[in-house]
Amino acid sequence: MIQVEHLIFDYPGHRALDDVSFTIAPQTITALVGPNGAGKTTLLRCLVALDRPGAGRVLLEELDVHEAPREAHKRMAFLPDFFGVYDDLTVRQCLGYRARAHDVPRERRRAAVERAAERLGVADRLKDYAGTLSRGLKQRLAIAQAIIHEPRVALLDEPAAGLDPEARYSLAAVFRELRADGMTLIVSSHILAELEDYSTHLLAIRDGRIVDLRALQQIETGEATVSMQLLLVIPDQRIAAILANIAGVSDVNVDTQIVRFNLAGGARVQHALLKRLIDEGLPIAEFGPVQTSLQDSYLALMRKQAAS
Amino acid sequence: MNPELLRNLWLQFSPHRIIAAPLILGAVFALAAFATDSWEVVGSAAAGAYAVIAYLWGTRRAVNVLADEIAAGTWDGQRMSSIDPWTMAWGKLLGGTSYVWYCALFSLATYAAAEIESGRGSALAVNLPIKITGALLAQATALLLVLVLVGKGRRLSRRTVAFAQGGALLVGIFGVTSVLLPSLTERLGFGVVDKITWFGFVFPSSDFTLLTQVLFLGWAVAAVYRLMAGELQVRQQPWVWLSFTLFLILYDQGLLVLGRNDALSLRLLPALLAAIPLYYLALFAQSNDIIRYRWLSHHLRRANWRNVFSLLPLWVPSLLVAAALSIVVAMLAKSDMQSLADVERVARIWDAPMPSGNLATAIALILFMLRDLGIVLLINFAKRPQASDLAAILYLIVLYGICGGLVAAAGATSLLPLFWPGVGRSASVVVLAPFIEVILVAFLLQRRWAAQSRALQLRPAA
Repeated sequence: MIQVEHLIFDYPGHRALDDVSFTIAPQTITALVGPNGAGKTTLLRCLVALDRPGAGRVLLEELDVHEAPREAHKRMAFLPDFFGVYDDLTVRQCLGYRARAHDVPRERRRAAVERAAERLGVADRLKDYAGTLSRGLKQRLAIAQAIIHEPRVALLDEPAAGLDPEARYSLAAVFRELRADGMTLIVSSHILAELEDYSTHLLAIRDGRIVDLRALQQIETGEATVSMQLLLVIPDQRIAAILANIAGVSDVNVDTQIVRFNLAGGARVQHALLKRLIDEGLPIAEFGPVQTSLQDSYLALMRKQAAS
Repeated sequence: MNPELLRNLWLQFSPHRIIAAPLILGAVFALAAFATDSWEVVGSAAAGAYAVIAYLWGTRRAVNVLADEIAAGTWDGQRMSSIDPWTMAWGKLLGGTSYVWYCALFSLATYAAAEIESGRGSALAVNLPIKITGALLAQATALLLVLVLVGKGRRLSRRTVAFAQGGALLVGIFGVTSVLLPSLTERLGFGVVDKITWFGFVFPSSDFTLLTQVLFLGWAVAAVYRLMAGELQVRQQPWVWLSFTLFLILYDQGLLVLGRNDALSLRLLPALLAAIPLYYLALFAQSNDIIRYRWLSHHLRRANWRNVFSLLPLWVPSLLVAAALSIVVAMLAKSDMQSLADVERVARIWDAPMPSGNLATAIALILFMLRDLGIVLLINFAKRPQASDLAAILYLIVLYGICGGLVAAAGATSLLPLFWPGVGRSASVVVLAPFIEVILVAFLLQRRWAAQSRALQLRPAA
């Protein structure tokens, strides 16, 4: 969906993006994380062709976004961290303007306005002036404006900043719906717990370099390697040897009753493995993927990077 | 309909505002009519109201149509739209000032009616277009200047907004001054200058003002389009600027009072005198941050000409034109100065001791332009450049004005070649002095460039 190749972006005296390359799969939600000043906003702005990098390119379904920015914008949406809405226009006018600005055909414009308003939960406020909306509703209006042309990709920079917990929760639901509708999202945020609610992938950036890009959840077809953990009722010496002889199992770590290992494969493989272990007569009390929070992963990653 | 125009119409035309403008203006003009019972006074009041509305308010609106977007955080949303640069440019220019024009045209209609009632209706055919194109030119210039400031990465504070509006009003004053030319020249004792000759055609000064305003309005709108395209990340190349440089040189040539029998070097001198300020204008009109030059150098080394042309600063073509004209004028002057009369005329115009050699003067002129370029870049390449344009201008004023003036006043003429181009006892000194300065500035520039490269800790780019 998005292919980034050797992106370099400099500010005077500071390289903000240093040879950045990665690929984003379609219909995913990628959490873009990193410390302050890591280059998240610069990366997002380069991805949507608001800033031109010194070198490298960004391909959106084979289209070089910096060679054809207007064409790319027809397929992309971007919500900057400091977004604004036209306070003196009604919600309907704000959405109508953006529909026109995105060349939504006249006959589809009204429907597009209503669909965007419906999706973001502002359909009952169409006649209200944008300036009278709460912060959370303005945020929703801004996202509705950004996606009114049904883009393939939406990039959002700190979309939940300043929102109360309820508004954040409903925003997460919106992102999941957008993904379910076929959209690919990249969301930058400092609130990792919130990203965890809806992200499928983690893209970590530090000092202008990509330090990690990986799947967070087993996605539908999920053949990714998953960290597993099982708990034995009592310690059993045979467990390490049994696991070592099973295809797809690696990095087995036994700590008395707790056993951790990596398993390549989806739910069927996990089922087969569990059946085999029970058939071997092992006293298993718990079995499942290791529940590591995004925050734990992120902090571990940043510590590792800092150490290296 | 242009979405940007429509959005501005939504924002500016509420039923209350639509009714209020003619009511208030109508009341003012009615007061003038009843108080004086004179159509002339009504006409003057309407013309005054038009000037205030179309020029003062209009330029402010033209600046704010972009400044407000940036302040409100909606500009990125517009840049992310599918609106093409031309639609965005004219949508902002006419949309942002639409209510201004609603009020201004009401004033202008009152002015026209008053002029007809006063028996001066015949002049309206030229005066009305002059007023309209003059205000449009000022407004386009205001938008152009604010786009220049945005392109240079300036924060749009009240001061910078006032600067853009002030610059636009100066352009607006040109039209007003031109219209007043006959009465001004008469009062100054030059007689009534109500005719202007351009490329041999004699124009009434008002007609020429209109022609000039229309031509420059076209260029201002073209510049707004180009800068808007840059803001919308469409690749730019310097051809339009080069065309404007050539246009201005030609425009100047048309005003030249010299005939075909006069020396060619003299006839080309105004072209050179137009090319040099344009070079300095180009030098300050764009961002000169080191990143642009680093990538320019990167693509230049790889002969990636498409990127080179899109990153090429506007001062490059201007410098080439100015340098070429300097050499051509100097070479021609050498052959033209066969007659004593020409020598005297050249010396009078150049106000310099020409025996040092025309070619030497031309080379010195080019070296001074290069030195000044080096100074501007040196300041911009600092680790934390602050008010770099202002600092560079200050340094140039000190070098040319204060140091040059002090040296001249002190009678140390041997030092003058360091501060003023073409002034010196011998051709070698005239060239050598600025050459040493160029070398010195280039050395400092190279050091700063290297320091910045180290700061970036550059790895080989892909």
